[in-house]
Amino acid sequence: MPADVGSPGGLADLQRAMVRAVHGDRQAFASVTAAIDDDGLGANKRLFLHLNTITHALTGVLRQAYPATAGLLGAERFETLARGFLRAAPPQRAELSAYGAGFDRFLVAEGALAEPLAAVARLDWAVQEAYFAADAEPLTAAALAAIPEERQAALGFALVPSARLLPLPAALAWRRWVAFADRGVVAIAEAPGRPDSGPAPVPAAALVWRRPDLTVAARPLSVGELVCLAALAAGESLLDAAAGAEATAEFDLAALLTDGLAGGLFDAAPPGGP
Amino acid sequence: MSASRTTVAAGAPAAPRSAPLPERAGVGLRHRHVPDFLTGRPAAAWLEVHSENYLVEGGPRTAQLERIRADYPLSCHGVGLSLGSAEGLDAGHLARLRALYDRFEPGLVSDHLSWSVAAGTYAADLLPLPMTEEALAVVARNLDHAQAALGRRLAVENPSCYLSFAASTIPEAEFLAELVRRTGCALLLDVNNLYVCQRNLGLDPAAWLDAVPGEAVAEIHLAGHARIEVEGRELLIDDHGSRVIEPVWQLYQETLRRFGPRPTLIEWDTALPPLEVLLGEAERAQEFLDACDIGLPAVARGTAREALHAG
Repeated sequence: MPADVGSPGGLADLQRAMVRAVHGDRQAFASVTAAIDDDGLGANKRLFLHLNTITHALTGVLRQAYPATAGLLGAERFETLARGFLRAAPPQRAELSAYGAGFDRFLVAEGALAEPLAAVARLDWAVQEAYFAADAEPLTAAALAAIPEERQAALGFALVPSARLLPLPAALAWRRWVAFADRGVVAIAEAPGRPDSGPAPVPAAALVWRRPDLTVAARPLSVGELVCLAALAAGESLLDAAAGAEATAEFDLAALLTDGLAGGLFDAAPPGGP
Repeated sequence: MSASRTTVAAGAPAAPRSAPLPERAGVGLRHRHVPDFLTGRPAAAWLEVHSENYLVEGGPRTAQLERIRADYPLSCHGVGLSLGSAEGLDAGHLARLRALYDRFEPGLVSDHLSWSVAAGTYAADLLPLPMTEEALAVVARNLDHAQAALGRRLAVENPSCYLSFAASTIPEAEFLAELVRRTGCALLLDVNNLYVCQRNLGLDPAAWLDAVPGEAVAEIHLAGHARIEVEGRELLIDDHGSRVIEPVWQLYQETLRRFGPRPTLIEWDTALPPLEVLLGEAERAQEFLDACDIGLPAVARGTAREALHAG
């Protein structure tokens, strides 16, 4: 039935049908064209212009938010999947910087990515979130040094709001993401740890965060680093977080703290923090 | 005209931060041009940003805009308010816009005569409204809500149209004029949109300009458009991806002749060229504004009138 736009409630009906139509619902599309002037061209072609504009805009938003995923899947395949996603999960808000959450799960459900490689999409999204996350004052080494040593072990070291810890189910996911990531957006430390620590361990997780200079950075984490940072993020004291991590191999608390302080990873003013 | 006419005058007394936009030519601030404004002081009289691009929690965008805002008057142009939504406005979106506007204190805020939201879904486009009494009541109600929530007068932009509804009964210009009367809103007159609607749907720009209240026009937009052919018929697409074409410049001159000088923006969003190209377009707009300011007859006025009636 064509939407009756002249009667009470007609505009709401038209808009509900039209928003479905421009996101690819064929039945709604046919319904809305009946309310549009043909005007020598055809109502369906006129309405299709809007569908096309939306598709172009949103696939562009997804391509920008998921550069490594697009590289991994290939441009054509990514475009097809992005179109599928925007039809299945159109935006709910006008702030398109927030659009694209859940694309990793969609790609797995569609069989486009095996679960271990979905971490590539999660890393892309973590960079997007870190870029736009809330600002925070980072804890500096100088501020920490001003705290009496006997109090430092009991301190909490909350992570800045932009920090994201992502488990990596397969080392391959990190390598693939590194190969395709947009280096203009994220600085990647490929071989973390100290130069004298030998070959880099197989990463257990990745850390993505925004540094004080407002650039986004990413680095792989060992199991110990992940355990420690996850505990700190959960509000545990440095002493407790380090105790849990030291049970794992290849954990160097001093190196982690030094890197974290230099990179602005810790929030200067967390609830109950330093 | 010399480039210095559009340079922000060094040493000039600074206007209050939230003062109205100057009746001069500005450019849209796009991400790729941000470094130009962070490292220098390009000769734009004022800048406009898309509000929704800055509705973020933090990070480089807002930090950079803070720095640039210190040097330039600012206009915030929304694309997501959805003034035509029959379901009403999103209170959360309004609150986020209010916080943005309170922080950056723009000289003007605006959005479109269109809608984008229904049933909890946002359509990333400016969708057309049927021009009916019902739609007029909806937009007026939403405008009242928005202006109260934002604590500011909103300027409403005339849309680019690619379709019309069989149920429409009110000409677009009369619809806008009635919105001004009912809500006290301002108008953002997009001259390119007027031209696009003329070519796509047969809108008469002269009658349109006759019908809108000129004193309500608070800003003018100028932009380029694309031409596509669908089954042998030409359609203009408002893609903001090229220079302003001559017939639009002529329509702009006619607009200035009728209404006097207004803050004028060069909009460019796709296929973005170096900033110098936008500034060159703004310089041309400034020439027409200057001619208007000192009471010179608009250049090629006769040609402009002819363009108004060209098909």
